[in-house]
Amino acid sequence: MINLAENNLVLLILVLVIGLLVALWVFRGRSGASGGPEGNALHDEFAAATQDVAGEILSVDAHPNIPDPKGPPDNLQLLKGVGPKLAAQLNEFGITRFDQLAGLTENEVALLDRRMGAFEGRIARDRLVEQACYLERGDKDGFEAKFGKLGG
Amino acid sequence: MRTAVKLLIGLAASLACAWISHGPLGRGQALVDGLERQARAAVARGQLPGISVRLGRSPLSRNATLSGPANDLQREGLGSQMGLSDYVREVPGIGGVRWADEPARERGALPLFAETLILAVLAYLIGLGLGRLLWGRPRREGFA
Repeated sequence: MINLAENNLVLLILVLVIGLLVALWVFRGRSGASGGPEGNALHDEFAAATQDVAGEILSVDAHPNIPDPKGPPDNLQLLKGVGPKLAAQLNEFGITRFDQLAGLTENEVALLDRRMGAFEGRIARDRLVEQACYLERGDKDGFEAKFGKLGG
Repeated sequence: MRTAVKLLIGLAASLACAWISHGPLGRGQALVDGLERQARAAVARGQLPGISVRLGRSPLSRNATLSGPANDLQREGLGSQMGLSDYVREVPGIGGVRWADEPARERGALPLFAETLILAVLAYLIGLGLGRLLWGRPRREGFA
């Protein structure tokens, strides 16, 4: 077997690297290290910076672009820190589904948070986008590992 | 995407790499050719004419098959005196030895492709394990 392994050393190293990459994909995804929606962190930062600067220079009251819900509403109260009132407040802004929350950019979160009245800052503070990312993709285990047991 | 799907994609990629290495890149054929050369040299040490040795070709395997005129003593040796089978068995990498005119007494080696796939799966699992150690520690932050 050792002889076989020596003969396939390059293959074994390559497959080991594949295993490492898959582990990175699986476990980094679970831990939500990007801190936001998957795969768009760099674009988000650039877009957020652009919108912030442009908004200030042009004195434009930029507002978050929340897409229409694509399906029946989710139970937003499953998110840790969201009660009936905060859920209703989110509904007022047209947010009824996890995928809408998960798709918010950092800049949109900041803009939305300013309009949340009594709940100002709660979207960022309670990491609702990160929570919604897990629930949107149905990763209950990842959610519970990070935020605790999923309530009802 | 579900975790199981990600793991299966990685596994499929690993098995595909193993197949490419074994088949199209010819690593399997090269290994068997090398082992067969060494086995022939080992048989030559027995200084017995008419003995040939070949390794499994269809499918490729590390199992050596000896053939030719040799009695039991010449084949298996006696006590500390080595037989032809022992010479071939000593070649590093040979999976098993049998004589063509005898029923197989040793359990035959797996086809080389199956062994390569098993190695690839093991390497993949080791990679996953290392990755889990590096990035998989659950970090409970707040709300717990």
